[in-house]
Amino acid sequence: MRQFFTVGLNGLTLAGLYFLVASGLTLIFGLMRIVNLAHGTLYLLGGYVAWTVIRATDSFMLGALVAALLIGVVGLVLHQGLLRTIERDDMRVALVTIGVSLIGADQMLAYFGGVAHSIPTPEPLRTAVPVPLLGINYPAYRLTIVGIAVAVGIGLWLLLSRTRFGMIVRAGVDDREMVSASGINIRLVFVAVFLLGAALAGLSGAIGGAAFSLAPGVDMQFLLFSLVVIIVGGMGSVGGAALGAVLVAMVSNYALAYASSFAAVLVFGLMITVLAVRPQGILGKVAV
Amino acid sequence: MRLSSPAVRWTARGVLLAALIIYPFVVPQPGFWVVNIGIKSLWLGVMALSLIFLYKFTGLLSLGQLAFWGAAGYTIGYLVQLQGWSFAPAIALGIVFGILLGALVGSFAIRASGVYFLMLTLAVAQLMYFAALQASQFTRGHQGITGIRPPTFLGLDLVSARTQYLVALTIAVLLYVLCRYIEGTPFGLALRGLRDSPERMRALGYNVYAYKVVAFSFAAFIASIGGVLAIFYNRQIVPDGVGLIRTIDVLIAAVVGGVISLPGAFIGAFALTMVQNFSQFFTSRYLTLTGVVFVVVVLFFPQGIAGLWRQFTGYYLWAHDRWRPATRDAVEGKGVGAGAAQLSERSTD
Amino acid sequence: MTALSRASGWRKNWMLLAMFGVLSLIATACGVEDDVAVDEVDDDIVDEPADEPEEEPEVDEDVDEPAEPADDAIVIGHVNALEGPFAAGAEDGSRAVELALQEFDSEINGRPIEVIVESSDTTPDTAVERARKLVEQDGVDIVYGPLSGSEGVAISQYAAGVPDVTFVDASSGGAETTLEGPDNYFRFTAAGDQQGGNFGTYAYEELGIERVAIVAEDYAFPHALAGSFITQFCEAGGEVTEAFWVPLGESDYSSVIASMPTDVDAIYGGIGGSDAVNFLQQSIEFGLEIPLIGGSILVDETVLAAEGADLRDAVEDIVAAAPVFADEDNAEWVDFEERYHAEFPDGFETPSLFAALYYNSFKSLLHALEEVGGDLDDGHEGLRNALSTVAWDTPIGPIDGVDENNQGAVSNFIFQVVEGDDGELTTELLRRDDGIEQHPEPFERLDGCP
Repeated sequence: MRQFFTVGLNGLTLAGLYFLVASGLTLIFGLMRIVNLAHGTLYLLGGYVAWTVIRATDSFMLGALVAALLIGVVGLVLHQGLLRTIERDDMRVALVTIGVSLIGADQMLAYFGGVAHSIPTPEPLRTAVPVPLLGINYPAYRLTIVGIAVAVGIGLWLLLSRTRFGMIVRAGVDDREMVSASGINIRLVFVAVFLLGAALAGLSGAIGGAAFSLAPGVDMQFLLFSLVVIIVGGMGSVGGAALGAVLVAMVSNYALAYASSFAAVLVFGLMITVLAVRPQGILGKVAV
Repeated sequence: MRLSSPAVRWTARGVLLAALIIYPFVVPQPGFWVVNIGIKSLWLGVMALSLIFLYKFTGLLSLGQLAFWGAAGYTIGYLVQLQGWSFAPAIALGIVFGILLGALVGSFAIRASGVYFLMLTLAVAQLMYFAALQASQFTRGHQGITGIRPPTFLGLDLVSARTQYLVALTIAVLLYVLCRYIEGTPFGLALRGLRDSPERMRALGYNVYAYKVVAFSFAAFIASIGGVLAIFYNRQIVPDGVGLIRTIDVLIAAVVGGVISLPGAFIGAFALTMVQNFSQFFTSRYLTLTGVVFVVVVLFFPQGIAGLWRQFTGYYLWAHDRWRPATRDAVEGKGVGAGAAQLSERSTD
Repeated sequence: MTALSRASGWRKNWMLLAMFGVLSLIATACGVEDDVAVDEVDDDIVDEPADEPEEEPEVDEDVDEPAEPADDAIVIGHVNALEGPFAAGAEDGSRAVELALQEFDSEINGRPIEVIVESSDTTPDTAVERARKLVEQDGVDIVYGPLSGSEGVAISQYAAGVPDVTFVDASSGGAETTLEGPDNYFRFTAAGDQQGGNFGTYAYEELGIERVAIVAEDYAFPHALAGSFITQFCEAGGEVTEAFWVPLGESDYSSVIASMPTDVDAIYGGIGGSDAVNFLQQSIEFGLEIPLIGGSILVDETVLAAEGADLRDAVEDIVAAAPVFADEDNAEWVDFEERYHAEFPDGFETPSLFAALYYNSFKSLLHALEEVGGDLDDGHEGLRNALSTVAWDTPIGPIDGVDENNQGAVSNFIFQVVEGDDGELTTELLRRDDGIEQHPEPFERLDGCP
């Protein structure tokens, strides 16, 4: 029984990370109706950036901050440089970002090599803390990831539901033309959202890089899992991303514990089941 | 005589076809030029044809065609190599299995559209990849089913590179002609109607869902044939064959060739095959090169190589019409529009 | 387009088809045999319309040699995994090939040796394509490579179809590569099961371990590695209580660790690369207290050299078996390492696993070529005989010919990760076994004692 709950806790911590990665992707989709298939590339690059900064300065906070900012800027450049003229065309955006992810993966391999990189966990979080009720000790850093994910989730929710910016974004999701017509510069909002989404990918890279190693292939792995998460949860919905993350992470962890060889198949099976029953995802709106 | 007159076009087609048939007998190092370039371009072209058919007729861009390629390939590999069947029934069953899987996937995938569909089919391809890795009783896991020796069919020994090339060429041409034929049938016309104005077609009493599932299954059929050709070419079927890199290969072949042009499938496949074989003379970073080419094509040549002629004549005609210095509006509007028109109209509807 | 013109268009399609049918019948009839003389007749136009005819393939073949290959050169094609996850290892392997070539001044009996490199991406389909290009397009005499297991299996099957070319494996570990491979394919480095050496027996008899659980990646190489361990361990009297086969590329091992039985003496890890880094790091975080023992990949340098990971608590005291060991007491190794550093100052701190394996396999090939004086005119018969009996002392133990499957016997090193005098982790050799032969059958995935 204790094992059962431990596995559940593992699933929850993994869900935290999945949510952090997927939230940026779903945020961008929600407003702009485009999918950035280079999102995993941004995650991995964020991890490498954080790794480099932390190695030089020994400060985890600084590394995570620089990763978030720098990847935000990279996202901005990507958006302004390549996607701006075609952002109304979701298919071409998807294709261009696939091309970018190919280039990114190859360049990161050239620069960082094939050896795994790990970000050292921040010193105070290296211990295991007792978990009430379960009677086990659990790594503090993993619990912190859940904390960060919850904080980011609440932050996003507040941003979207309590601020003028969020109001514009939500209105833009429903009717882009109407927002433009009412004199708001929707282009600027697009830029801000893309930057925020990319920055979230960079931040997750820093956080994830301390829990799981960074290596070639991790970019595609996280892209795929983020896609599955938001497809299951419902694209464009932050709440859906949270729900999707929990479901996917739970399935994969229980599968690993009880039927280890089938973990990957079961995760994709979950997605196909959800889609067969509810094509727009559990919390998704019907596709326009 | 005008360049586009039927006589010229038919002569050109005849010459091209003759050249393609003579090709294996005149190239030096046939083991390389016929196999690595010729047969590879043909089966990759068939895969791209499957993708392009679906896109052209339904507006759905799929990343999942390799799943059906793999379904057919693994069925044949399993039955022949692990169960000792002969090739003929195994191939028939492989293709049937590919089509059935296509119908199954199609029955839920085509409810999605645009970029949802893209991601969904990507996930299907990945599911196939993981299933191939894990179901090792059927697929022999990571190592795959290897050592498959192409059979002799009706006196045609497929071990011989030239025979295999000619068989692949015949099949590719047949599939191409079939796709062209479907364009003109009521079924093809209905599909295009569904793509362009589904609501109107629904109002006219068409069963939109059924039409799309059939189209998807037909694309899966083409992809299954691609799987049969590829298993003769590779002489093995391995999980990496349905992996992400190969999925993207098919996409690149289709898009670079011209994603709305049926001949574009083979042009793109040939271009990609050449780059794969010769890129290392310019660069050691093959993926970067393909990535850059791909991005440039999507951004600036959305009709791909097959559409270059039309794209440039489009520019020319446009410039001709407006010999006076163009206004800024027109430059922006038409400059992107001329090339982008078809791809973007499709995907935004 | 009107219905009428479409109908006539369709009729023309039939004409096309008929024309094609006739043409291909003629073509097939006159040329099914593959011995058609190849003469330079025409530019070849490939595939569909609008393709400009590509140039005749007068491609320069030199890659890292000065231009103009000499007529009498011995041409070796090298399939190397320079793309993909093993890029760094493949590159280090190339360094070792360079070292071996230098020893022979890149010539055998006055005939220059030319190496043409083709890069693969570790997938079997690509590896075969690259090998075929080397054989057919570049006309190489010998194919050298590849790096990884499934590539090797595929290339050895391709080799069966080109009996005029001799193949020497670089470092791949697949069992079927040699067990089912043809006579023209040779391997001097360890197959997966050979990399385990006698570790299963050693663990029971010398380490006193009686019960183990297995956690390993689910593909052929760990199947063989763990398979040889399990078989020996069970024969010696040990018990395997449980086996976790985890998909390749899994990064979250926390739930596997949580499910580990507690009543075993040790956990055997058959995990490599970045997966191993994750497993080891998480075994620290989640306080796995059972001692670990390992297959060759669990604590190889790609894991120990992981950037930034603090794996010390997990790897210290691990006992593992490997086909390569930086044995400072072995003169051959010391010499190899010195020359490596002198020639490649920006190489690795110690030559990598792939450097050592590539050096062994490539130098074995050069020795055999030297023995026949670079003479390949006898249809490679002399070369193959020489390869079958090649014997020399390598940096990682002696090589002495091959078995009936053309697989060489290898040395195996059982070692422990310990704290050195300077406080840094180092490895200490416990035992070296020479003459480890390949298991006569491939290992399937084992879930317990057979």
